[in-house]
Amino acid sequence: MVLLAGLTAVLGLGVLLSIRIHHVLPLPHRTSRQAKRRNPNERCSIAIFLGSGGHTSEMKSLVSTLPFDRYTPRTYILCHNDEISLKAISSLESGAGTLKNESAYTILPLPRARKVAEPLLSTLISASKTFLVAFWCIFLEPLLRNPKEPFAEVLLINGPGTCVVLVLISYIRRILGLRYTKIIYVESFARVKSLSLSGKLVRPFVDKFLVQWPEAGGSSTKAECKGWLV
Amino acid sequence: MSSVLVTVGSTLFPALTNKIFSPEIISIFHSNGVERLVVQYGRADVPISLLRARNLKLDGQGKASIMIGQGEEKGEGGLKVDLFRFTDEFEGLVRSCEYVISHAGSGSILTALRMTPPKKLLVVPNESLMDNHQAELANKMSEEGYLMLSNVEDLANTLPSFLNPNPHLDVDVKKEDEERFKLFPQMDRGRFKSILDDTMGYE
Repeated sequence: MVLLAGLTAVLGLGVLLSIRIHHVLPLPHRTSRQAKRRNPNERCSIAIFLGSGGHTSEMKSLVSTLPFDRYTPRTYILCHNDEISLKAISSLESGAGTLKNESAYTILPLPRARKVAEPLLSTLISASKTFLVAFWCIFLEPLLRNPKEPFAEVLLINGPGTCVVLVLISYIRRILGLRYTKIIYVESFARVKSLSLSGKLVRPFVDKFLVQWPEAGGSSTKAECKGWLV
Repeated sequence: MSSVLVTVGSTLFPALTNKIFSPEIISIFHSNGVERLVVQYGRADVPISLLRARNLKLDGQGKASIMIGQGEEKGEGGLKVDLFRFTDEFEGLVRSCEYVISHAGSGSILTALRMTPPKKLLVVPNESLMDNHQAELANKMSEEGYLMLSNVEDLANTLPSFLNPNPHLDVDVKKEDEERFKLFPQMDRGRFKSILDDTMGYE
């Protein structure tokens, strides 16, 4: 009896949660989600995920085109021991390089969610570690500090796996009806005819889904192609 | 004098690096006037035959320099070979060579094609990769005329036409290359910024 009640409760919660998630999904016809107009001098906080290797080098190219006086402060999220991404940050930020900008960026290292060819069980364990650290750093700690503002106004991601965790956590604020982080996903230049696994996973949830070759998005109406971005 | 860079990025692609050191390919380099060969061989092993034949000593970072065929045959010049696993100065290396033979990684492809002047690029996709979306990119880019494509087995056939498409004609090499390779556009630095500005509500 208790079991049945429990089951019903869990099921009910699940249904409610799905309805809520469906309600907050960024569907194309929801014009109410148009961005509020900003004046040109207004600042916009930004978070950038550097996913290692080719992901990092494409993200570095994208970020190098942004005006840092507008997109500030910046939070760089990367995985532990990823020296290439650390170098990418220092080269991006040294270009911006005045002393007064010293505190304009922070670096947020996360445990890697999945190493190459890691077996399923240990992937689950490392992914939950990533989840917990990210949950604290990008949801709970910012919430305690200032409940009104998300940790960043926009989050840029381009794979691999760990970025899915970031999308999940960003969704908590949407589900709760708080001001949330907009998410932009940029599929790799290397993807000509198909999406990557992380692309497929995050596509329904992100606010903008960009591909760099017209065929890469398949029949999806969500995928936008505005040509090469890197 | 011309120089060729062979690069496999951070991957394991012994099929390509072994092939490059086969007598057949080395003799193609000789007969097309290549005098310097730079091989970034990544996580592969140096071919045993090369190690034995040349008494090669690698340093801690897998680095070595050798001369192959020092004018023994028909007065041909020697081929100076530099070998190493990885480099921090990839761009400088690409700049220093006229020809690039590369795996299908998008980073290497973009670096070679966006160099001024752009490099002549032959891409050899690694067919042993499971999820071979890299080959998709190389195919597309070759269809569009930005680069030449080969597989490892065909290298002996494609390499001569890559290095020297018209050996018997006295043609303007520069013009010839302009016809062979379409110029790949530089990055449009306003494109992503304007998408982001638009998304975030800036005019």
